[in-house]
Amino acid sequence: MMLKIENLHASVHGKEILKGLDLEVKAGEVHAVMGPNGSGKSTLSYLLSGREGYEATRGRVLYDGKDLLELGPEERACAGIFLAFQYPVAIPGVNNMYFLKAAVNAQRKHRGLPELDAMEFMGLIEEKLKLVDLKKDLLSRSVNDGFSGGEKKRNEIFQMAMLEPRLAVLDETDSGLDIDALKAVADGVNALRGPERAMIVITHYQRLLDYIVPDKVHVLLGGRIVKSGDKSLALELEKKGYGWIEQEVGAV
Amino acid sequence: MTEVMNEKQPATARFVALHERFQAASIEPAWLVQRRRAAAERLVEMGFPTTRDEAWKYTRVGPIVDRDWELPGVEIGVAGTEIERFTTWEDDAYRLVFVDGVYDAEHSRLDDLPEGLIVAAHSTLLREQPDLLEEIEGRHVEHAIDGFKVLNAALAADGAFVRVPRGLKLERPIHLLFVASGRAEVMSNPRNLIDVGDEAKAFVVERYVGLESGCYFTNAHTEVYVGCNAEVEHDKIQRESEDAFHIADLEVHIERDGRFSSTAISVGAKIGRHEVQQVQGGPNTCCTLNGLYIVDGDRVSDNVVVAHHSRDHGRSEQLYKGILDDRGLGIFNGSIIADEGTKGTDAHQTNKNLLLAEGAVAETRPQLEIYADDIACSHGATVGQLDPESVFYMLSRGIDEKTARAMLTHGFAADVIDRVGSAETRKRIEAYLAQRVSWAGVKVKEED
Repeated sequence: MMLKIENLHASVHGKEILKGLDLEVKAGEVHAVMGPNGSGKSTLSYLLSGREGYEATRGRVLYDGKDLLELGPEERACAGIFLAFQYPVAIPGVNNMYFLKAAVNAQRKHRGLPELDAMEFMGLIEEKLKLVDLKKDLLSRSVNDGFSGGEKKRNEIFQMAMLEPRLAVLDETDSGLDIDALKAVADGVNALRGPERAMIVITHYQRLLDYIVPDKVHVLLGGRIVKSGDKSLALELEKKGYGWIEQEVGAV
Repeated sequence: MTEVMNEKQPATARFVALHERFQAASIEPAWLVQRRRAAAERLVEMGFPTTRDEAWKYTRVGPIVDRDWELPGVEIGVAGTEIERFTTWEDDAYRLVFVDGVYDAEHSRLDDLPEGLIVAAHSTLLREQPDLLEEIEGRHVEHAIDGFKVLNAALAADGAFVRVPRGLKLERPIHLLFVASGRAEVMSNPRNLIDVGDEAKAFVVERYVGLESGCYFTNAHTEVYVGCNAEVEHDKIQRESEDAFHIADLEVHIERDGRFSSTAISVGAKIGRHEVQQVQGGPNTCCTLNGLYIVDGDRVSDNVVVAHHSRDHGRSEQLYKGILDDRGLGIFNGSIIADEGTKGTDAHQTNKNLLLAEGAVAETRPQLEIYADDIACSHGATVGQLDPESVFYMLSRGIDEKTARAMLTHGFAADVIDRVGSAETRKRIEAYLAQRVSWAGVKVKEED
C-alpha cells in the first residue's frame, strides 16, 4: 500500500475539518475524491503536502508504511509527493526554468543522484514538453506571473512531469478551465499515469473524470469518506448531486 | 564666530582644522583655494545635518562627525593584486582607480581614448589643464546643499573627470573604481565630474569597495551633465566595508531631450547614504532613478531621491527597493517636485521594502510637491515580508526553506538588478545575493 490514511482528524486554525477520514491508495491507481464545497477536499491536499497551519489531531497517514506527518513539506516532495495547486501562486522575479531546475536538483540530491547540468536539464525539458502542452516561452518568464488560469494549471502539470512524483495530488485542477485547457491538462495527466505512480484527483465536478478515468471514486462529505465506488459513482453524482448521499449517510 | 560655532556644532571645528592643514600643505590655483575656503566657511555656518533636518530625519550622523579623521596620504597603501581583483572583469572599460582617495595611475587604464574624450583624475587635470577644471567647476550650481556636500568641496583631493565631446557615442564603459584599504580613520572626499556633450552617449560605472573592515569614511560628490539629446547610463555600486561610512550625492543636470538612467546598488557601510538630485536644464528630458539597498546587523541605508521638474515635458521614474534584515534600517525619501506653470510632467515613484526579520525597520517617505496643473504623477510604497504562500509553494516542490527564501528575496530585487547596465556587474550582484541571502547571520566575503 502506497498511501494509507486511517481515521484522520485534522483542524485548520483550530477548527476541525477532517473527522475520521480513511483512504487507501495503491501504486498505479487513480483515485478521485469528490465532494461539495467545504467538505474538506483542500484540507486533505494541504495535509498531505504539509502546509503550515493544517494539523492532524488524531489518526495517521502512512506513506510506504512510514509516518508521513512527521516530514516537512520539502521532505515529502523529495519522497515523491506532488501537489498540483488549486491556485498556483505567482512569484515575480523568479524565473520558471530556474525554479524548476532548483526543484529537480533538490530532489535528485535528496535521492543521492547527481545534479543535472544545464544541458541535461534542457534535455529533460524538451522530453517533458512532448507530454504536456505548454507554451515554451512560459518557461522563461517568472513563475506563474501573468499566466492565464489555464497556463497556470498546465504549468502545474508540467512541473509534475518534470518532478516525476510517485504520488500526485491534483487539487481541483479542473476549476476555472475551458474545455481545451481541461483536455490539455487531462492529456498531460494521462501521459503520466503508470504502474509505479498513484494519483489522487480532487474535484468538485464529474467533468474532469470524463478525461481522467479513475479506478476508484470516493465521496468526501463532512470531513469523512462516506461512499466509495468505481467511475459510475461519479456519473451518479453528476446526475443526482450530493443531496441523496447526505440523506443516505444521515445528517452531517 | 567661534562662540556660535561651539554652540551650534563643535564637530565642524575639527573639519575646519583639517581644511587648514590641507591648504597649508598644498599649492593650488587661487580659484580652488578660494572655493575651498568658502566651503569651509559654509560648513561652519550651516553645521552638519541633524535629525531635525527633513532630509536627514532618520539618520544620525554623530558617529561620523564626532570623530577625528585623517586625510589620505599620497602613497598607495594596498598591494596591486588586491586592486586587480576588481579591475580584471570589466575588460573593455576605460578605468580610473583611486585607493583611499589617492589616484592610482598604475591600475587605471586610459589607452586608446577616442579623439576628444577626456578621462582623467582631477589631480592630473589640475596639473595639465587647470583652466578646464576651473571652467567646469565654475558652472556648478548648488542644489540642496548640506554640511557633507560643502565638506567635500572644502576637502576633495581627487576624483574622476570625464568629458565626452559632442556627438561621440562611446561603446566602452567608463569605470570609476574607489578602493578603500580599510585603514581606520581615513576620510576621502572623491569629487567626480562627468560632462557628456550634446548628442553624445556614455555609460559610467561608479564603484566603491572596501577591502578590509575598518572604520573609514567616504564622502563623495558626483555631478553629471547630460547634454542636449545625449544619453547617459550610470551604475553605482556601493560595497564599502561594514564598519565604514559612505555619504554620497549625485547631481544630474539634464539638458533638452537628454536621457539619464542610474541604478544604485547599496549593500555595504555601517551608515550609507545615496542622494540623487535631478535638475532639468531644458524640456523633454527623461530620467530614470533606480536603487536597491540591503542592510543587516545594525546598519543604516539612507536613500534620497529628488526628481525636480522645472521645465516642460520632463519624465522621471523612480524604482527603489530595500531588503532589510536583523535590526537594519532602510530609508527611502523620494520627492517629486513640479514647479508652477510646468507642462506635461510625467513622474512616477515606487518604493518597496522587504523585511526579513522582526527587528528590521523600513522608513519610506514619498513627498510630492506639485505646483503644476498639467501633470501625470503616481507614487506607491510598500513594506512587507516574504509571502508564506510562495515559500510553501517552493517547499512543496522539494526546495529547502533557506534556498526558497533566498530565491524569493532575489526575485524581489530582480527588476532593479535587471536595470543595472553592466552585464558583468549584474552577474556579480546576483552571485553576491545568492551567497548573502542565506539571511541567517552568515556573512560571506565574496570576490566582488
